[in-house]
Amino acid sequence: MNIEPTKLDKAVLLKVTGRMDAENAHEFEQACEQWISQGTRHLIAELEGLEYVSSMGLRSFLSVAKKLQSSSGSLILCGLHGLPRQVFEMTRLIGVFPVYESAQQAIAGL
Amino acid sequence: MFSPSIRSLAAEAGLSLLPVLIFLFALELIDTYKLLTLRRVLRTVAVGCGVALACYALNTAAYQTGLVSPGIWARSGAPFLEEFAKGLYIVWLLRRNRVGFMVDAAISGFAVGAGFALIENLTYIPGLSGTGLLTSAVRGLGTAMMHGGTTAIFGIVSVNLSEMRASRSWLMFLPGFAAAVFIHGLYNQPFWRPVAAAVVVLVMLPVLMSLIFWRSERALEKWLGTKLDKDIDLLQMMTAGSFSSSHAGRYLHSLENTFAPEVLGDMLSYLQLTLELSARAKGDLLRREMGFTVPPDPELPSQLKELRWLESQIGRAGKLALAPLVGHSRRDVWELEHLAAREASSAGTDH
Repeated sequence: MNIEPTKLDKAVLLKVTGRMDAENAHEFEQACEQWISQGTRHLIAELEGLEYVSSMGLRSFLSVAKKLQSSSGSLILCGLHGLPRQVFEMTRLIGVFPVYESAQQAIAGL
Repeated sequence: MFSPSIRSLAAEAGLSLLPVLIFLFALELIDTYKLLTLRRVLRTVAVGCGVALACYALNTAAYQTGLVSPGIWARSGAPFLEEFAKGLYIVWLLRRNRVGFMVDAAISGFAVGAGFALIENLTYIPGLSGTGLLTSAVRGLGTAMMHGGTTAIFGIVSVNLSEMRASRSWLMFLPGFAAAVFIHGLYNQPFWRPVAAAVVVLVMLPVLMSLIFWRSERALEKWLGTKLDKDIDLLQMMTAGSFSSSHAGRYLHSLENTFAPEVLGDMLSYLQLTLELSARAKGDLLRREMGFTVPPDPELPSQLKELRWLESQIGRAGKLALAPLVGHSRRDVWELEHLAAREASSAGTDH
């Protein structure tokens, strides 16, 4: 899994590519926590290149969303497609996050 | 309005039971996954009250036979009878797959015991008149914690054994029952000073329960992750069209000569729906683990209805044939029951 951050005006965009599994899900959580500790309130996870997400990955997304929620922020998902989208839908966890088709739409929604 | 003796009795009963109820609801609060609804906990307390009334009648009948002295009965007969009666509800919960883990077994057991103690203390405290408000409150509290603790231990040991041995045999209940009767009998022995016995119970029980909670939550977390990944993998194969070339798909093909084509079709639908419901049950648990609320799902009642219908179509043989794919352990069945119970609870109907 690779995480590429870009700082924007109102948020930080994290481009996540590859497989998010039990081995590396904590890396996503750590990357997010680093930005949260610097005062970032909105994180946009760009998941166009995400190929797989396991239960540990889901836990990481939820954990970050909970932390941001407590500071009136949000974890926004965009570009979610294919198998990872199916996983979010099957578990009904998709309802926890604001979801957009693209990063541009997510940024415009802030 | 009330005589001083009734006011004093109410104060003693309140003092002895309030901490028990606080402890019970603290257990409910620290249950990360919110396995039990508050409504079910209260219902379980009410069951405990009913069990106590039944035991009161039976204990009185035993004394009246004159065959055994009240002292001997209190040390040997009563612990056996009372633990048996309280344990029956836990047995029912387990047999109906309403309990999945040590945490919900512990809360259910403790709630039955708390309800039992509520009635027992009301009948027991008047006999302590003259010992002082604080002494009778501590004794009442110790008795209440003992009743809650022994039934919780019965539930925990039974869940753990049936999970470890993957068995639904009645024998799985014996060690927990023996432990509960032993602790209860020991508590009732005359060599204890009642207040000392109460203090021992009050110190030991919270430590024991905390350890159990910690261990059970780790087990639940592990089970949740492993099983969810399995469900997801199988579902993805089914929806991506690569199922027939998978191990699971080949296994289903091997059943072609055993089941009629329409039954096999229903078995495939049953498999998919079970996996979908199973994945979403785990999604709900994940949400609660992280502190999110779970909104009601309008599609769930029809999906559960469809599942029951498919179950009736494929029969017991079909379910057994699918067991290697969907799993039929107590926990596998529990999660669907849990989903149905939550749905019934949000719809305001009983389950």
